[in-house]
Amino acid sequence: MAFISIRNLKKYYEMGTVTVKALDGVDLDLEHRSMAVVMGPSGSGKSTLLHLLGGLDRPTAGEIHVNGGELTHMDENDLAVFRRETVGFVFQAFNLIETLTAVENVGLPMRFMNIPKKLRHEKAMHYMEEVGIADRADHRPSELSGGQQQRVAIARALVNEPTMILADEPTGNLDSTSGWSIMEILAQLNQSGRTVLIVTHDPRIGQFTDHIIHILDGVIVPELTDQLLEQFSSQG
Amino acid sequence: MKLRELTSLIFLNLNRRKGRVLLTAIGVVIGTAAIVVLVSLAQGLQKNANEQFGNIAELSRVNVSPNWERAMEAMESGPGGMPSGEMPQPDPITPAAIEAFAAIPGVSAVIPRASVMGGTVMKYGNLEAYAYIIGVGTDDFSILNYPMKSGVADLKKGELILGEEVLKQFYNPSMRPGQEPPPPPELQDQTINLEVTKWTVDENGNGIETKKVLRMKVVGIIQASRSEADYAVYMSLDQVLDLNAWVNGRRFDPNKDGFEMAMVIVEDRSMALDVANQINEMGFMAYTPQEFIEGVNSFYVVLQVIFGGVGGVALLVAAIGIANTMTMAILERTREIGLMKALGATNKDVLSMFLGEAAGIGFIGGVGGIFLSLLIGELINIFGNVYFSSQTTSMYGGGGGGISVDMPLWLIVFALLFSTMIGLVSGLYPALRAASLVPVRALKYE
Ligand SMILES: Nc1ncnc2c1ncn2[C@@H]1O[C@H](COP(=O)(O)OP(=O)(O)OP(=O)(O)O)[C@@H](O)[C@H]1O
Ligand SMILES: [Mg+2]
Repeated sequence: MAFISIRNLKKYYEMGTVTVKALDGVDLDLEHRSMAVVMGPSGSGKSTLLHLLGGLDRPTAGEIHVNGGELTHMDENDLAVFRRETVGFVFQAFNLIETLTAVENVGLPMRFMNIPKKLRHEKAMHYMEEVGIADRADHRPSELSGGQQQRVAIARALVNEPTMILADEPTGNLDSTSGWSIMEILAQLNQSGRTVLIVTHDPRIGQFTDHIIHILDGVIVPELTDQLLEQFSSQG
Repeated sequence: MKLRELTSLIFLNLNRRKGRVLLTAIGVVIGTAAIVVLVSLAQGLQKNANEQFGNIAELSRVNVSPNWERAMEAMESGPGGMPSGEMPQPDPITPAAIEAFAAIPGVSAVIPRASVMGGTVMKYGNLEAYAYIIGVGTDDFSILNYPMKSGVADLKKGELILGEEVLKQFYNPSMRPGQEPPPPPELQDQTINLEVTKWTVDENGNGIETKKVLRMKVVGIIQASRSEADYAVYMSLDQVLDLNAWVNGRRFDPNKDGFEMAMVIVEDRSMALDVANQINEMGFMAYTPQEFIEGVNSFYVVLQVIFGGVGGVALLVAAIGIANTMTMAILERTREIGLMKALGATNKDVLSMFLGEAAGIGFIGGVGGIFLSLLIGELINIFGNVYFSSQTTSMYGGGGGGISVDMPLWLIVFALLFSTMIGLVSGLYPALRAASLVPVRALKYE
């Protein structure tokens, strides 16, 4: 079985009398150390897919196998351990804690792993160096640019040495220059052996990978043709 | 998460919201201070009251007299079999009764006592004083446990032991008005005259006054301790009974007449009430100061409960404040909770974190409350004493106790635990809610 293997994945939201089918039968295989991009129009289910794969939410139906484990069979606690040990999240909105310094933000996940303070600091600094933000270690998020904040967030996603990086529109809040450097960093992380899955609208990502997953209306499609997109927008 | 990591994280979270935490804690500070101050005030009042009860020796004593009350009732409700004109007689305190008292568990000694039935005046030089004589049926005066100011606690025929206040009763009967009263005489080891007077009637119906003078040596002075002994003159029981035989013109028969009173001394003051009850059941009248003290003490327990309750209401309000702050904190930090979960925090981690924060607020409030109450207690002790002693000295002519706050260690420990508990309990619901948030929904929360 592949490193990531998704079978017939469904996520429905009951909105009163209407059922929103955010995902409606997704099958997906991803090899270890691969890098893939999820693309699709707004509301097509990209974030939903990432959240389910990262164990942040539970599907309505289907199977999610990651590294031999089945997420839908895990209890709350196992799922927390899975998120802690296997997944590194990068969000569009950075989600840094405003009252903590950069290095404290990066060190936060290690607090849940009982890593002692000194080692926590060392590791945090190590990963901040890796993403080129070590010189801003003692700054608060408000004192950093968007690109710098996203680097801090990436360092935070790396400290627990996850095998899988999930990035949901990591460049969405950035100008094109900082966006480009973030994409470079993510590609670099893939080079050094991590499995990376990115949701993005930025076509420049094509420079780093040709594995593109097109998603439309909750299902994976081979290619996003104009005809398909027209059909989609007339529905929505 | 290990406890060390957890506490450091809780500390971090409390520290980065200092303002909010301190504002919330103020409620707990006031509640805790209210409880601690009020309860320790009640404690202090009780302690003062207990000190007013005076001599502790008398607290472990039961005084027994014949039950006149019961005898009167028996006459009133009796089946008319009582010979007319004869006074009903209660059970006398005979040597046999005294043995029965001594056999009650917890009783260490029983001492019969009697007073002189005639007039008694002590004379020393040109001074004289009325003598309230108590004859005690023991040589070993130390059984009664009175602190001695001077001399020995040993009493034989021809000897007296005086209460300290008795010395101040001496006056000069030939003193002219406006003259400076004499200082109290030094009577230790002095010999004084005890003048006993009896009144009889001759065949013509005229009253005759007869006097008898005894030479008595003062062998000991009892230190004043706000007890019966302060104003008493102790003498051997045999000598008192001899005097009474002279006054009444017939010999005293202990088996028929019985003793006027018996002092039952118990090993421990806590047993006094129980022993008194048993003696009452035997048909005598037993009285112990313990009865009164217990009544007073239960009053102070009620006072403490009421005072504590007032503080408790204040703490309840504080608890609602904590619950509110925690609920608000969870709303504000919903995204943060989602983030922590995304970073690998378990439900238990989130729960313990929020519970810990709430308990931390309670604890901080408790510490503040204790400092505040130490301060208030100090102020009450200073100002309360100044005010109240000016009020009471005039009434009792002595250090009248005043009002004071007594803050025992257990109360401080209890207050800390209690305020922490208040924090925990009020944080429970908000913390449970935080822990059960679905991470993705928490992350999307605006
Ligand atoms: N909690 C929710 N309740 C109801 N519907 C939801 C919820 N979350 C997502 N949806 C719906 O599910 C569908 C997919 O949402 P999703 O966030 O995955 O889209 P997306 O592809 O990430 O879009 P975007 O590019 O705008 O981020 C949308 O129609 C959305 O309205
Ligand atoms: Mg999205």
